Amino acid sequence: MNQAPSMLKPALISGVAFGVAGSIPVINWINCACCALIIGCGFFAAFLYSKDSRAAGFAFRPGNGATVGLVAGLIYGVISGILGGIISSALGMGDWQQVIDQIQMSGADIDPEVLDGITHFMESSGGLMMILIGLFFALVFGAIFGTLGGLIGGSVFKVEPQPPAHEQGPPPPPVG
Amino acid sequence: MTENQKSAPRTSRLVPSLVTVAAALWTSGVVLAPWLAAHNSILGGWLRLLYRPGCHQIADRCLDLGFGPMAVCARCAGLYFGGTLALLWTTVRNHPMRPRPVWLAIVAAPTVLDFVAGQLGLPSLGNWTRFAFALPLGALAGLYLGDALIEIVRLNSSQTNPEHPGEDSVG
Repeated sequence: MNQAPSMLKPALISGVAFGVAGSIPVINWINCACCALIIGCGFFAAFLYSKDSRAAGFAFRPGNGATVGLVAGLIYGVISGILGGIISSALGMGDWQQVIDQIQMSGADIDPEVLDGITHFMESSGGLMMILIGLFFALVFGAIFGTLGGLIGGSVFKVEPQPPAHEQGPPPPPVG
Repeated sequence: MTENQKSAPRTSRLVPSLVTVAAALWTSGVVLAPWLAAHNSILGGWLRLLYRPGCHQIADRCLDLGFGPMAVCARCAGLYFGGTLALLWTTVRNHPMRPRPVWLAIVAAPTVLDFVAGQLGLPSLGNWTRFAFALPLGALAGLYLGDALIEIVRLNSSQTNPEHPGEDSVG
């Protein structure tokens, strides 16, 4: 009897590939379109898993897609969170002041004293805090949008279960 | 649009309804944020920040309904509105609809081409055109999502109630 294909392989391939892409400064702009890179990660993992399921003769349903998408999204979060943080720090792009500028540009009315306090804390903790915050958000968004992509992929690449052998009709009666 | 109509039995509407309400709330926030900001509410700024991780929010690329740019760009707004409408359609009909996968490539092409053109510095489309291009892509994603949700509910209810698969006491 065939064994159900492993979910880890497609999740790892997709999560690592998209995670690396998501940590590269220009390519990660794709995430500006509704986190398309993370949705794509879950979607691609669902595609790979549906191929494995089809080859092994197993059903592939949206639930499987959601699960493999979630795992791929979490792997994406770990890879892009750590790698992105390191790349941003190395290139000097993970500046906390940029985050403050973005918050102020968005029109959010935040007490300047609170912002000063947070800025002081961030500066005293060095780049590590930025990497940890980035990792946290990458994991949260990876889980949500990876599952969403996996669900959509689960519907697109659905593989119906094969009917059991006994449903194919009784064997012909012996002749003679 | 050619589609594979399913003969699956009608299932509980609870889960798809909850997801549709969540999607509707999320989408309405896109319009609500500038409206609140225009009425001097602090919530407007915070609401706008909520959408920040998923959109660049460049004001020139956002639709304006008369009280300031929306909380997301025209493309994201099209995806959100399309997705919400498709989820609403699936939930109201309580019958999944799964278009052929080739449609995904067809409806994604204009948005992908526009995105690539923008990255290459080529002249970009107007905001309403970008919204109109993204709308069917969002709708298709919403249809697939609705199909996935209904199938998951159907499978779960058939496991808990094998006598009447797909039927549920709620909804």
